[in-house]
Amino acid sequence: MLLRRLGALVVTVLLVSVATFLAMRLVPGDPARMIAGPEASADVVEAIRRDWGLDQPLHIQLGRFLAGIATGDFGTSYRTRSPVWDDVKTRLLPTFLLSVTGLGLALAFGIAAGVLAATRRGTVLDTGLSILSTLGISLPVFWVGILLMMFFAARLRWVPSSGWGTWQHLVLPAFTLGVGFFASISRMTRSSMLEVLQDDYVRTARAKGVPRVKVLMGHALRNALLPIITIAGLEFGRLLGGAVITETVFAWPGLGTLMVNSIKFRDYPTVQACVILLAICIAVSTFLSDLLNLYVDPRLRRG
Amino acid sequence: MAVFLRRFRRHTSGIVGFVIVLLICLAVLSAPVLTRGVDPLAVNLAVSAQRPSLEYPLGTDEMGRDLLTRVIAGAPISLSIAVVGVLLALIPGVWIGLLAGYYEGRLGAWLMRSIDALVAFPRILLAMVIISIMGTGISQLMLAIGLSSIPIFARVMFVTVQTVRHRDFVQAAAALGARDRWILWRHILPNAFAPILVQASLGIATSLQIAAGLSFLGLGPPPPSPEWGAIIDGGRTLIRQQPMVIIAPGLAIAMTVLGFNLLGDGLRDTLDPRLKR
Repeated sequence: MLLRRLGALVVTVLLVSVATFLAMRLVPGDPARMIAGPEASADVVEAIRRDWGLDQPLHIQLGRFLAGIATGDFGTSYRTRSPVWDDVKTRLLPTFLLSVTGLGLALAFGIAAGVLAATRRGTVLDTGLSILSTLGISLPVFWVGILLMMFFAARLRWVPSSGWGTWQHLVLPAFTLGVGFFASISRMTRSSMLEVLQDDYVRTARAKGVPRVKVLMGHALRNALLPIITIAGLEFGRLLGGAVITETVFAWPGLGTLMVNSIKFRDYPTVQACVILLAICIAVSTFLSDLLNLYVDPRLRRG
Repeated sequence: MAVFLRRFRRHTSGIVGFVIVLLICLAVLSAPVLTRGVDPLAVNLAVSAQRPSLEYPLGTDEMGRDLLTRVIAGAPISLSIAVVGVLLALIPGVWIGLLAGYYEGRLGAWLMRSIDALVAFPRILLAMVIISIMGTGISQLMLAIGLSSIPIFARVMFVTVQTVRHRDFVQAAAALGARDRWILWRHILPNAFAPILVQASLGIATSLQIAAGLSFLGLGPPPPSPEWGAIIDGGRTLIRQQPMVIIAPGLAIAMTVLGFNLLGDGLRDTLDPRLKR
C-alpha cells in the first residue's frame, strides 16, 4: 500500500514534468534565440541550437529534459544565463520555512478553534468562530498581508515589514499565509469533532468518569484527526499557491517571488523549474499526510 | 421550486450572500451613473495620493486619480473576469466529468486520475503557467481563470455521476433500451444541476480572489486598468500616505467574495440538503 502510494507520487511528478515541458513548447518564439539574446548573430543562435540539442526531435529533447531533472539539471536561465538550479536552490529553504510555519500556525489555531466551537455548539462563541472562518476564507491573501504590514510593521513597528534574515521577518508572512488555511482547518475540525462526540465510546468514557479534557483530547480528537490530516495534506497545495503571493507582498526570497519575476521576464526554464519543484512539494505533502494517517489510525495499516 | 424558496428564505447567511451579490450586480449595472461622470483613468499628478476629502470621497491614488470612481469602475472588470472565467470552464468541465464518470474503464479512470492530480495542484499556479505562455492582459487572464477551473467542475460532475449512475431510474432507463446519450441528457445531467450551480457560485468567489491576486502580481490587465487587485498593487507604496488605496479595493474584493461564498453555501444547504456539511 505504501509502495503503491510512493509509485503514484513518482508518476505525478513525472506527469507534471512532461506537461510543463510540452506547455513551454507552446510558447511562441525560438528557444535558441532566447538563450542567445536579442543581439546575437544567426551563427551564434545556430551554434546554441546544436549545443543545446534543440535541433533534435521532440521526444529526444523530452528524454534529456527528464534525465536532467533527475540529476538536478533544469537547464539555463534566459535571464541570468546561469544554471537554473543555482538560482532555484537558494529559494527552497525560504519557501519551505514560510509554508511550514504558516501550516503550523493554521493547524494550531485551527484545531483549537474547531474543538472549542464543537464543544460549545450553538453558543455565541461557535457562531463567532464560524463567522470568523467564513471571513478568513473570503479575504484575499495579499490584502491581509498588506494590512498586517500596515499595522504591525508601519504603525506599531513590532516587526520588520519585509525581507528575510531573522525570525522576526517570518512573523507577518507566516500569519498572512495562515489566515486562509486556519479557516478551512477550523471548519473541518468542528464538523469532524461533532461527529465523533456523538459516538458511543465517547459517551462510555464520559459515563465511567474520565475527566472531560481527557475525553476530548484522548478519545475524541484522536479520531477526529484523520479527516483533518487528509484535508491538511490535500490543501497544502492551496497553501503553496498562497505562499507565492505572500512572498511577493513581503519580498520573501522564495520560489514564489522567483517564479513571478521569471514570468515577467519570460524566463521559461526558471518558471518550469519552479512549477516542477512546487509540484514535487505538493505530491510529497499528500504522501506524508497518508503516512501520518497510517500512524494515527493503525486500522488503516491492514488495508 | 417553492420548497426551495421556502427553505432558502430561512437560511440567514444564504440571504445575506444573496443580498450582497444583488447589491454588487446593481453597482455594476449603475456604474456609469455612480461614477458621476468622473473619468477613472484621468491622471492629475498635482493631487496624487490625497487623503479622503469632500472633492475626493475616498481620496486619490498614486497618479491623482479619483479612488472612489476607480473602485466603482473596477467592479465590472473584476466581476466579468471571474464570471467569464467560470462560464468558460463550465461546459468543458461538465463534459469531461460526465464522460469520465459514465464510461467506466480505462479511459474514465485515467481521466479522473489526471483531474485529481490537477485539483490538488493550486489553481493560481495553473493560471500562472497559462499566463506565462500566453502573456498578460485581460482576455488572457479570463482564459487562465477559465482553464484553471475546468478540473474542479469536472470533479464535481464526476462525483455526481458516480452517485447517480447505479441508481434504479438509470438502470430502468437502460433496461428499457435507452441510448447512452439519452440517459446522460435526461437522467444524469438534471441531477447535476444543484451541485454545479453551487460550484459556480463558489467558483466565482475563488476566481475573483485568484484574478485579483494575479493582477496584484502584475500578471493581469496592464496599468491604467482599475481592476481591484491592480489598484492595490499601484497603491503599495502609499501605505503611510493614503492607506485608502489599499483598504477600499480590498474591501470590495472581500465583500464580493464573501457574498458569492455565502450564496454558494446557502444554495448547497437548501437545494440539496444531502450535501450539507
